[in-house]
Amino acid sequence: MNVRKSLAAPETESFIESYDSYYSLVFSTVYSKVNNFHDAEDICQEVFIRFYSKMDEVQNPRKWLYGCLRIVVLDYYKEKRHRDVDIDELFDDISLGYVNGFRDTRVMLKNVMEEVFVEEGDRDAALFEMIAVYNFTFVEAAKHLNLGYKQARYRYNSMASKLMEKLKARGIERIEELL
Amino acid sequence: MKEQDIIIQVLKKYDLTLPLTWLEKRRIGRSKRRTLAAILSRDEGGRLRFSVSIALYNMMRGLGLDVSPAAGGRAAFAAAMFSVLVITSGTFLIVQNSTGMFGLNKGMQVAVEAGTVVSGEGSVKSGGVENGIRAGGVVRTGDEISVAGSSTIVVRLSSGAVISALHDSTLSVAKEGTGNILDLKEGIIISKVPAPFSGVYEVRTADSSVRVTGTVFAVSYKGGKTSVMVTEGKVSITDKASGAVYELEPGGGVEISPSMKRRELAEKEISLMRKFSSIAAAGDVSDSSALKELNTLYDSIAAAKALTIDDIRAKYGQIDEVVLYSGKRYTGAVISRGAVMRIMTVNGVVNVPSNEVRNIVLK
Repeated sequence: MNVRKSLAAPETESFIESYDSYYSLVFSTVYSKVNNFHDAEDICQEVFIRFYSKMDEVQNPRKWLYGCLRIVVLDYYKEKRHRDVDIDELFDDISLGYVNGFRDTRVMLKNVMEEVFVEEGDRDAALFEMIAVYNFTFVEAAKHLNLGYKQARYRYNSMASKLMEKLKARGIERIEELL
Repeated sequence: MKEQDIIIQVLKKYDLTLPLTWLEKRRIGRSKRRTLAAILSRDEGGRLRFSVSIALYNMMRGLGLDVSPAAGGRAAFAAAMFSVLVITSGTFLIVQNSTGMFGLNKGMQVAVEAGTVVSGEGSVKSGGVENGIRAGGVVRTGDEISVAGSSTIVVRLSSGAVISALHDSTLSVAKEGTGNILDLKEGIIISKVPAPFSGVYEVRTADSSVRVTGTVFAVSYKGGKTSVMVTEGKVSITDKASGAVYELEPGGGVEISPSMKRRELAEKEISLMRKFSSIAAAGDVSDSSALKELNTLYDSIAAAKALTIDDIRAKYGQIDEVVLYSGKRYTGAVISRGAVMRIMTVNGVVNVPSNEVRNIVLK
């Protein structure tokens, strides 16, 4: 077994690049669902092992990882005998949720974010989600994604500007209107 | 508030955020490193090596270096080799230093400060390079100190002992725990060891070793012969050839031999030791005449010592045997009489109160 040779292999380099970009995001998502650090780590490991073995076939890593983690989390709940858990509700409760009577705005925001994520690419989407959704600071997100602080700040601002443009196109001139 | 911050506020309002605490974020970071190593090593093993490689890769990326994971692997390999080298060298030095194995001298050790020159001057040979040394200069373990010409050097050792090496002396200093071992190759060292002294203080010559615990004593090694003088405390002398151990008390001197006969210190020897004690007590001696006086006294002792019975007979015309009431006998020439009788012996001048003398026999 040659660690140096293994690390120099192109598929390993490519895997580590994707791993660096998505691990923290996938972990945060799983952790928010299962609320157990060790279980979240096991689930993440399983998700990325599956990703490693299917990497050549994956077109969109972020979507693939989200799809995979739903399956693995479901397996986790089955194993824990929580058979009454609805995985759709657990993962995508936007349309079902009723928050302060602004359900439509919530769905619209989620859709706008998804549009921006598709347009701007998975890596920037991961950065935006970490900062905006999971409360990572620029420094923390940059560290987790192996980026420089300025890089992280620039990319996040760029994503935020795109988001504003999309909201304007939907008739929201100023973001403050949503507050 | 900036637009970017307002976005976060909006997401919070519509319950689209899942904030993590700083502790959770830190744990995620640790989990990230751990899991990657577990994934990469699951087929081939070597988890520790992957862990170290990934840690170094992340560290280099954190420093802003655009490196590949393979660079982390190479760095880990280099770090491992360096660690092996450091550990091997350290182990070798420790084993060699404590056991004297591998045919190397046990005295060889990592050079550490052994003392500071208080007064006088000499030269220090370190790693084959010889440099002059004077007051304020640092002496390290393994250094060879030489005092040439008419110089004298006074060194305060890290153990608290003060030594003076007189002219034409060569020695090296090693540390033994909190104490010192001095290897006298030639010349004379006078030592003042603080009492009580914790640890070992030993002066070694080719044929003997002198160990003390708090005393003032001198060891000289000239022409293949070792002499020891003590004015305070007690020393234990070992003759390396016979293994004989002799304890020498204050006011006594001895020439190393299997029989090791004690003799009284001559006046000049006592003066030499007193002079040294006053220098050691004073610390730095800016007046070089005090140091010169040490050499002068030592020279006169050496000259007196060089006399044989025949020399004394030739110089004073006769040889007497002075018998004391105590039974002690001195062989030499009576050079003055009065309240104190002075006798020139092969060991120097001896002073004896006249009322202790029973009779004098002409030899």
